[in-house]
Amino acid sequence: MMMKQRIIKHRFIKQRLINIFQLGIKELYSLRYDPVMLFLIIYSFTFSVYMIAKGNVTGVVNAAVAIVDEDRSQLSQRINDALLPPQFLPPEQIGLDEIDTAMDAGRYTFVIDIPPDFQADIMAGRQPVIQLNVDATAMGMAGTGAGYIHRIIAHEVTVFLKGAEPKEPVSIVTRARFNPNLDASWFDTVIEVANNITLLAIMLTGAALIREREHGTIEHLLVMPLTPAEIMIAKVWANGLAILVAASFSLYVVVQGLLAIPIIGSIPLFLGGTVLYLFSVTALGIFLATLARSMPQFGLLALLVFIVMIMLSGTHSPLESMPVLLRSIMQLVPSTHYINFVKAVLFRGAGLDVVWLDIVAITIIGSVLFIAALLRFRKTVTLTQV
Amino acid sequence: METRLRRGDVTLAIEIPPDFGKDLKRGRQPQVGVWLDGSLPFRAETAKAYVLGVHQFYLDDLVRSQFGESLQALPVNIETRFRYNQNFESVYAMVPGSIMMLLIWVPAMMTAVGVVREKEMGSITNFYATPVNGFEFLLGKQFPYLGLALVNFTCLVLFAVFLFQVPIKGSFLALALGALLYVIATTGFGLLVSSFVKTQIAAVFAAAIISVVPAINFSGYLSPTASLEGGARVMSQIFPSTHFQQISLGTFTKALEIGDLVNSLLSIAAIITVYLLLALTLLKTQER
Repeated sequence: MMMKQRIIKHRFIKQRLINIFQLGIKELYSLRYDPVMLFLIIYSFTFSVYMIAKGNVTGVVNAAVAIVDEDRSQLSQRINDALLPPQFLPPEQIGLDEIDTAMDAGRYTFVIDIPPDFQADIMAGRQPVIQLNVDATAMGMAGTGAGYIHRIIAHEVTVFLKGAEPKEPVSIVTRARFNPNLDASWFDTVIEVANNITLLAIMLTGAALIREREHGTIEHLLVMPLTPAEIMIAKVWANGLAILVAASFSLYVVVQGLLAIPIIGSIPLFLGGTVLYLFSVTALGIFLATLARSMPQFGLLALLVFIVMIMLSGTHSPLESMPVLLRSIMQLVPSTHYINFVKAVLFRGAGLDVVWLDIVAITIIGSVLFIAALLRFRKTVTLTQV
Repeated sequence: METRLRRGDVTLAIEIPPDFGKDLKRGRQPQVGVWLDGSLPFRAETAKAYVLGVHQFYLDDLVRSQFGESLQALPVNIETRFRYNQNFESVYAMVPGSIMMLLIWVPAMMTAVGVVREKEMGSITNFYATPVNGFEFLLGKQFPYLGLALVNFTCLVLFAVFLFQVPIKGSFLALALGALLYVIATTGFGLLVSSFVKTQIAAVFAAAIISVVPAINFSGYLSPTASLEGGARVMSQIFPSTHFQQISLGTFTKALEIGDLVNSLLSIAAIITVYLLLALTLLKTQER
């Protein structure tokens, strides 16, 4: 008697797995027949990542500088020549009356005004004043860049006066680990891959559910001997797999190959963590889809959730500089842990011993989201507004 | 040190060599090593700037304590003027930028999905049977979303002024005119997206993926457009966000008047024309 029950139960589980597998295949087919969608997935993991690497500017890179040289001396020329790439674009010479219009139009972030008789005053020890105008609306660049220009001018003037490099009682050497030149494109590119994973996971899965509801095919599925859990797991694995393939391609071919960005960490570990993250974000996508009644509603809801997730999870500004309350709230969001995980694994070469806590957090949040989504899914599946 | 940097619990490690104090007194120029966690380049950059600043301050202090006040540390005075935003508060840059971003994402996505919804549901065939032409159809679809976007704009400005206390220092007229043109452009972008996608998922996704990167990264929001190069520069110019960012930031924070912003306004107008013509052409080719 016990034996027979066990066999039935075993068959039942097997049947469920087959169901989940076949539903997932169906999901992949519907993706295949949407060429624009496929193109967009490829676009976001190749072209868009490439653009970020080549075009994005964070920190002081290519800062646009203009010099109003009222002195035209050897010293002012030296200052001009000391503003070098990659931090600065070659300085442009402009007139005193052009400063306001040029800065209003955002053509230059920094304008240096060297007064008449500057060199003569320096030689005479009269401490002339150089004016440095900074466009303070360029938040990422203004503060640090002004600091650099300060040091460059001070250095040039000192060297000019003494005829040699200044002797300091203590010298300081800064070295950056993991990214020696502090090349921001390394960071931005990999984060773009992570952000795309988040965006796609939410949108693809959630939208797939909404579409079935709007077309009424979800009712067909529900009258079949399938449980909501099977339908959901199928959506999670199929869409998760598609994104995982695209992300791996992006990392191996675009980031490592085309862009030659060195990744010191273990990519298999990264992909393993990504699988768990995909589970948790696709569950979030389904959860959001159960809240929305139509595709436009879902689109907006998903976008707003996505924007908050990427802005506050430690990509644009480090988590430790946020208010404590916000930081605690963000601990409940899977992307915070994921970004932390990505940074540790891919940039600092951290192993499982360092990142296990993040992985556990992602899994727990994912399970909670999945259960919440399942409960809502059962309840709301028939409430559709067409 | 290596392990803790790897764990990410230190951002910065200072290495002071043995005999540092002794060497300093004997004038042997000891070297202090500073290790930065480079995995977050902008944070490392800021940390580096602070370290160098502290170092300079220490040197000045050392010189002063040894030689008395008579010795001047620097032969030149550098007077830094932080224009437009004296206290260097990010809210004055963030709020105008957020208005720019929200006014592209929401209207573009709504419009795109609005049109594609009719395609996917099949109700668009009703229009083919009526004497409504393509141009009328597109504008008719755009109009309500345009109205909605203007309501959004009004709310956002009220939020900015009253909730975030970011005053409009420049011309409100320029801001309003810029916003009107901008939302025509962004809803037009939505129409353009709708003309080449077939499913609502693709519409939502296309509107998001195509506009997020240029709006955040290339619009002058994160970094000045003057520093962009190559493809990014081109992308920033053909996308309306960059021009509206100029207007939004200009009127809120830079106290600009309408005359200063004519170029940005004209650029958006040109972009609108291109979007609408493209959308119309694509829609026509699909009808056949």
